[in-house]
Amino acid sequence: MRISTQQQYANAVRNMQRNQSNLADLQNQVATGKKFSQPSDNPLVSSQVVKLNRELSELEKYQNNVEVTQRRIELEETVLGDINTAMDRLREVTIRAGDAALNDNNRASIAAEIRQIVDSMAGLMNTKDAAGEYIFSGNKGFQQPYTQNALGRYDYNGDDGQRHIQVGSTLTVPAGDSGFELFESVAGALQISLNSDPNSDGQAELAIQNARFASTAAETQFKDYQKLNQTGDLQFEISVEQADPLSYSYRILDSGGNELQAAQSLGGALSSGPVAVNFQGLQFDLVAPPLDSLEFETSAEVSGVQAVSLTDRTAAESFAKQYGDVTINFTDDLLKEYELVSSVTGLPIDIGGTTTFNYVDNGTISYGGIEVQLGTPVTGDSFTVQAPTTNPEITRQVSNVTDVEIVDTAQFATFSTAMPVGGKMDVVFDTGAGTYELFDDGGVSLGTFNLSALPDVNLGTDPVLPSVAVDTGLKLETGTLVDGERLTINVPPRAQSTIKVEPEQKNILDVALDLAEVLETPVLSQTQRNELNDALATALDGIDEAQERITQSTAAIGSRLNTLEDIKSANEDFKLYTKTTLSNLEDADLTEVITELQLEQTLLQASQTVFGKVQSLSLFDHIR
Amino acid sequence: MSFGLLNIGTQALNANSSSLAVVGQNIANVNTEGYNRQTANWATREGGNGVVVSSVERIVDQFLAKQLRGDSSTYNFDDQKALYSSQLDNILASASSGLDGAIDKFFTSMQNIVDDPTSIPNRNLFLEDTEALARRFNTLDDTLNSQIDVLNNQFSDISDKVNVLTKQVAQLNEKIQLADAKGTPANELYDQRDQAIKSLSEIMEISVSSNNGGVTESIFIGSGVPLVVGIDANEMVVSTGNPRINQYEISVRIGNNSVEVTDQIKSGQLGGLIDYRDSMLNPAINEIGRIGLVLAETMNAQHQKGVDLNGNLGGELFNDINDPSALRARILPNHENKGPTPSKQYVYITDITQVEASDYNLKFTSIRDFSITRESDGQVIKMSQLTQVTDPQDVTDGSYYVDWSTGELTVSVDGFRTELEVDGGFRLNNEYLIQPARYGARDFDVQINAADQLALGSPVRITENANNQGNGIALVEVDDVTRPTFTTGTQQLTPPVEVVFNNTDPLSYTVYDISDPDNPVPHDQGYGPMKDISFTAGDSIDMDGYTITINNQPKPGDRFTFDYNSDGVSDNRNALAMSNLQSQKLTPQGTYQQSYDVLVETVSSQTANAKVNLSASDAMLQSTVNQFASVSGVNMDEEAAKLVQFQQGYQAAAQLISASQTIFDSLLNSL
Repeated sequence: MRISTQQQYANAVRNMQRNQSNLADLQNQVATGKKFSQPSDNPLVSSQVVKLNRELSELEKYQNNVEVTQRRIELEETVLGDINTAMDRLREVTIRAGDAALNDNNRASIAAEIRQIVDSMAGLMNTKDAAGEYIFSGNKGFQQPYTQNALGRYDYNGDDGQRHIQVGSTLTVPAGDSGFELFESVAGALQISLNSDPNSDGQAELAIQNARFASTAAETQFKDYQKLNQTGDLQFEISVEQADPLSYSYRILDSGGNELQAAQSLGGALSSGPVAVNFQGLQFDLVAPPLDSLEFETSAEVSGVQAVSLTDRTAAESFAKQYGDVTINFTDDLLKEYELVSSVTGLPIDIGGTTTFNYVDNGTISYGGIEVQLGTPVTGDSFTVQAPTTNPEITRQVSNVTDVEIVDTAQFATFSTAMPVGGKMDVVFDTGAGTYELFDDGGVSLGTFNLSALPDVNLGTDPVLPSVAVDTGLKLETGTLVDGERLTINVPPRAQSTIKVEPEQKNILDVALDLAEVLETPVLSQTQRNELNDALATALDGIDEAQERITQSTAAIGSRLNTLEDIKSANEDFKLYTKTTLSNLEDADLTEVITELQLEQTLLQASQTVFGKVQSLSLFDHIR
Repeated sequence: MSFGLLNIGTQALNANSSSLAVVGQNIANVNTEGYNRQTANWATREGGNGVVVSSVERIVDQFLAKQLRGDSSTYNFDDQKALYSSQLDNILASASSGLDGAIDKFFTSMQNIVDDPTSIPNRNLFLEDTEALARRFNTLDDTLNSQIDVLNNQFSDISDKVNVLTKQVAQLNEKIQLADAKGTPANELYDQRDQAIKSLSEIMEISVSSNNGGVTESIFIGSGVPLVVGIDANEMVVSTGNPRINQYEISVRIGNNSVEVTDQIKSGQLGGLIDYRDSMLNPAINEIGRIGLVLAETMNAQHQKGVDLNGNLGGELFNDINDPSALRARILPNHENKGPTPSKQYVYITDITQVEASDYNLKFTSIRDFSITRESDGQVIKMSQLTQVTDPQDVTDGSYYVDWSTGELTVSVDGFRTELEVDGGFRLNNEYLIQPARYGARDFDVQINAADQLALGSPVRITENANNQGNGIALVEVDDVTRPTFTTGTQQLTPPVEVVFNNTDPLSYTVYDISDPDNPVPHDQGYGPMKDISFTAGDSIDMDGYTITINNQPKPGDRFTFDYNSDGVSDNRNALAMSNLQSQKLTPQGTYQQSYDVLVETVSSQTANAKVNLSASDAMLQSTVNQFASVSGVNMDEEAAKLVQFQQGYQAAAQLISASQTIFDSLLNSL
């Protein structure tokens, strides 16, 4: 090939430049110790390096968290150790106080010692960490957990929050325990509280008076019964058995509605004074509840629909946003078809390409997060479900009758006597005609009445035909009634209340103070001697219970510390491993780089030498 | 006879001397850029009448010249792209300018407040690192945007250079035409023109067409836009973009018209710059904008679900991504749009996790029709593919509302909602540029400036009854603090509730409203009382604003109460939730940092690719340059040999004249 002289020089220069550029690159590798100076030098490895570096920084983060958590937990451990020692001392002096040889003065001085111990324990429970945060306040770190109230007892002001700290990518460890968890653990006497059934506006608990436990043995009996049967809160129910003469029965159910005490007839006993009841150790007196506070059991139904419930709020809201209120039209009860009409478009809603859907009698239908429980709809039935977002306050009960109450007790007594005991009555509304009809349990019509006085309807007072006279003494409170709406009223009314029995939670400080108070009282009689012994036994139980909790917690803390230690060393191992991988990926192999550097130098020298030789070759030198 | 000899000798003398002159020219121009070697062509005269130099020829292989132009366009394209992309690669990956380290630092600093939420120094430290993160976003955006300015300046300089070169080609065309008419040799003018054309081909890909056997050459770019036609050159001009006014565009002025050619320049130095800007720089700016939006929005959402040191619900940690000024900046009308300017132009981000790092073009394509083009992949979303709704409030992703008569359009795609109002209706062919993510990094800013306003606790306090027999554990996840549950009263839950388990098989629970603690009422959220609901471990209870989850196995009678977390200063649940965002997949690419990794990886592999292409096109160009030089370059040894050759020829021709004289003298003497 022909060679151009200019090209010859240019190529020689280019080659030397390339050599020099390679040399510079190798020099850079030696100087930085890294194979790459920017990601594009090797995108694949660089992206791995980025990920490994992030892993390293994450590990360091966790490592730091582990150390912080360790410090907190160790502080807690130390304080709990001190509290435990104080409790040992408390237990010693309590045992000493039981010595029958001691006189009142001896006991008073023991009481003084107990108060000392309580003070020091309270101080420990109010420990702050280095940053000034109370360590036993749960999440209320700025609230002093234990303060003395007007009675000299200690109140817990914190909560049972627990801080968790992340020590691994998916692992969090609790960094402490609250005073609620640690010290508020001594179970005191059982406390009884009564609540009326929220559906009745009367105070059914008025029927129960003097709920109590006669003795410790009764308390234990009840506690064991409750625990064994897992009853939860008890439900007490009192019903009118017969209106004339007025007689009652009661029964007791557990929180799940299981009958614990079958219906017990009281006859007319309540009219002659309270009746004492003992249920598994729990004692109370029954008195007659005010009649107008009693509740009717009603079951409502509209056009074959029994209940509406929400299954998925998000779906319901977005469905409502699009379609507004939805009217369910039962279009054909032979083919079992219905359609859903939107109030926004006024048109049947198209779901999956169809606007007609099938139902099953007594089955459920669901659409847009709402589930409707059906009865037996008939053609032409229709029911509107209001959109949850347009008016979230609307109660989506199927009937719009909100309450049934007695307005005339004398009238009601007469009426209910006429109805069979345990009987029911149906009210069927015909809003088109502006009337309603009453039926007895057997389906026999009791008469048709005008629906004039909405929203309060006095049942049976305004007959369409003047000849019919069935005044029930009952009043309905209604909202807007739906045509075809049907209400079944269980005629004998009843009242329900919840009996909640729970041990009172006490802290160890108050247990000790209770004891101190008893010890400070002079023992003058055998009764007081017995009280003292009881108090000592209770205190010892309390101390045992509290110490048990502290021991458990200390064990938990120990295992937490072990876990942290394990995590720490696992993190260290992982860090080392990651660093090794990282080094393999990004660190330059110096031996290799230096060898290459040598090679590149040799090449450059060779290029230079060759250039010198070639440029001296010229024909002009030989022409004379 | 002797006259003939004399004549032949004189001609030979002339021919050799001319050839020597050509050799001299070659030797003289051995180092001249663009010089092509010349040879003198000899021809024998008829009837034994000696020799003549018929022409002095430029040795050029036109095929190689064309290939050389193409190769140098490609080489310069790759060169510029490798140069700039390598810069971008460095900026994005560097610990001092990239996002990765700053995000890491932000979350590391967050751990301090997770560990110790009551510590004001820790909170302040975290706020400072939050500020630092915001500054990093801003600075990175600024750095990348200043690259756009650098490119703008480059465009100006290059177009000036192009104009000098095209003018030169046009003038040379004229000179060559004249010389050709006069029959004067013009080899050097041809060389100069070739050289100018080659310089142009370094700047961009050009096509050259010869007229009149190569006397004039015309130059076109792209799809036949003329730069030089005969003796006329058209000016190349740069102008601010439409509607992206901060980015220059290139056009060619032909007569009174301007033809935009930015998109037609695909090669050469200029092509490299344009390609870098459109395929790497702008996407990178959009991507860091998007990461900024995702981070700001998701962090804000979580932060607002917390309570601060004073017991108030959390505010915005970063500024609202749907701030009014941001809404307007995201949409730009084309400057050539007809009709009035929009009376309303907003782009809301509705679902940040769906937003793509792309620009979009909204166009009214025909009467009562529009389409939206996603520029990153060219995907066209037609009006017919979207659902029409009758109320602008109802527009969700994939639907639109339009009133053609009043000119109102609300359309939502890809996680953003565009609201456009033009008085008197929309005009055909009007276009609007939508940039949902572009300014996310620029506008990234911290909203909170007081350490006590950091909302690190959860607003719901959970209390487990001390007498609980089971091992049930209650957890709360806050969903929406704008629900009445949180907003009805300040620093209170409306209502506080208690979940009580009942003795049924399977286990069931009742949720009581304990607003009056002495008279709990089964809670009713408007769908009937929440009574006797059957329970399975892990069930969630929707409390309209927050969700309760109870794990493990509670026993009948067990109770959990839920109330507002007043004084819960040590609570770190919300801080933990914020910290967990670091490892959550919030974009299709994954976490915040994984999204950024994808960007860095894309840029670095594009850069690596550009580097590989550069070395390939460099080798290609060198090989062509060598081939070309092999044909057209001057070789000194060759010229030295020719020098000797023609010198000897000259001496021989002189001998001919001398012989002719001797013969003539002999004849004279013989007379």
